[in-house]
Amino acid sequence: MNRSLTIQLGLVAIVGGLLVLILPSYLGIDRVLQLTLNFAFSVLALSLAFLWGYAGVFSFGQAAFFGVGAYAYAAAAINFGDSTWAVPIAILTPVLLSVLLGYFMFYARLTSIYVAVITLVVTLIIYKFMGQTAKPSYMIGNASLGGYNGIPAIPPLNVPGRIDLWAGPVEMFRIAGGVLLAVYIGLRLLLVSRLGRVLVGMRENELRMELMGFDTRLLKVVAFAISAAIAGLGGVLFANWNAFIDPHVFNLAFAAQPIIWVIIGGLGTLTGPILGTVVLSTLSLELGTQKMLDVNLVLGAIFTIFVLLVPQGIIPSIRAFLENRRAGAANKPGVAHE
Amino acid sequence: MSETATPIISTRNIGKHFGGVKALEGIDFDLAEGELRCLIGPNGAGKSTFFRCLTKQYKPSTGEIFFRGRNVSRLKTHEIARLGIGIKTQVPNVFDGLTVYENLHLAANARMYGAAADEACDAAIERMALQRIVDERLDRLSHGQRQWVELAMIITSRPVLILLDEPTAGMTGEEVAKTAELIHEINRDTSLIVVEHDMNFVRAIARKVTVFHQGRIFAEESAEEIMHDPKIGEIYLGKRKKVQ
Repeated sequence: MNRSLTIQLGLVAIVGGLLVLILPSYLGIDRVLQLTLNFAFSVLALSLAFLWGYAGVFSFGQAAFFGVGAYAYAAAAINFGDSTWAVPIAILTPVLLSVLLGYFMFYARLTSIYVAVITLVVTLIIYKFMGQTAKPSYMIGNASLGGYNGIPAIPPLNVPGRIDLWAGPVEMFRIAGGVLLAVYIGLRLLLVSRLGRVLVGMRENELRMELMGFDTRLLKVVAFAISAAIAGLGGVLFANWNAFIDPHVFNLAFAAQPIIWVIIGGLGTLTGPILGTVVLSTLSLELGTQKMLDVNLVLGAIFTIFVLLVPQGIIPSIRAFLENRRAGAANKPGVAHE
Repeated sequence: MSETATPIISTRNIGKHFGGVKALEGIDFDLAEGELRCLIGPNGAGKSTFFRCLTKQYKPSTGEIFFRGRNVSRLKTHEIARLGIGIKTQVPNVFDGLTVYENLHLAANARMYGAAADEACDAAIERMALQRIVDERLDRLSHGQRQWVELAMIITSRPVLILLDEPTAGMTGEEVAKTAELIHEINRDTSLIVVEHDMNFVRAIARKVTVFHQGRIFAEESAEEIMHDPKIGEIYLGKRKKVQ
């Protein structure tokens, strides 16, 4: 790892960590809750930003991993009455699903359009299935799945082994913020590692990677599993924010959200999708308080405008603008350059 | 390098059919350890298809492939590469969005880690004189430069057999001469099969030449014999004329 990256990530950890600790003291509870939700969604956005933007695998199914993570957490926490083992279970369950799904898709050498369709179809199948689990027979231990009514009263995160020390809204804000920072920093480190470089190589030229001896089928499954683990972690935060989970996390509208966040923030970046998530989620919430304009209509219009006018997304466009300005300044007569 | 009895690569009855079209048919081919062989033939003769079958980009319709006596017909592309078989494709097959150094590093990472990978990259940069463009992205380089970077990537992964598909395409005369020198240098410790149309280049690098015609091996002779064989001139140029 080079020095500049170490400094950069160190600054992110310190500044981000301080903000996460201090902010709740200055914000009202409504803002704390809203930002906690943004953090959970940002973790979901990062899962797609990594998979699509760096490994080059487009998935419509990140919402499925997010929802499966949330449901797995809910079921495990209700059964154990404790979040200690619920969190690893909530991460491992979507990972297992992703490995199974990824094996069949990538070892069958499906092209990206089929991967997108299959991941979407699987998400919608889970949506339909979870909606039909209202009967009392659909139980996981003591946890009733509840159909479209969902699972209420999900136990909150607690200090491992101490159910008396559980997280309230402010602690959840700090945990969610900390998780988001950890996922961001973890992905930055992963991307400069050998695995990260190899995944980017696969995005750039899959055939050349094969011709150099890399098994791209396996690499795709690994990337898919990592992204599922991150999405599952986001699901844990979401289930905790809401203390409730229902099948709507698997519907088409929600499955499309992370894609929109990543496109608007900027594919091939990590900060862009976080920015896209925070801006659009906040906008959705604010628009939801008025009745003049339909929220989906406004968001659809924003998405269309971005795709047409800023197809690269916010962060890559800002970067390109700054680079052009720098290059323009360097090329001015009388300015010395190498 | 001394030639041994077991060929580094052999094929028996390799064929590749696309529907009713037989792109390759009954190819029996042997390359000795350390040998440098040129493949020539008109466009559509099956040379590139043969390379694709050897690297399993295409699954042969018939026949078997042997690497140092071991049947490798069922291996996948990446497993063939791990045997130490590197290929430079006809159109440069590189990572356009990455820099020259990143391209080389990825190639090195296929076989080695950490400091060893760094050293392999530095050695390839030195050997191919890529110092001036090492931080350039590949999509900003000329065709000839991209060809050289791809060659450097293959060298970086230290293969034992290299397949070069038209390595001098789009190169200047000076670059062609440098490539011929480089191929001789690589051949000191690596076996090579080179597909090439430029007969002067073929004569400069190879002792033995295999001629492909309509998906079959038409002849296997020395470079000098090929140059003076009227039948080869006829099939190669499509008319009754000696190969120039």
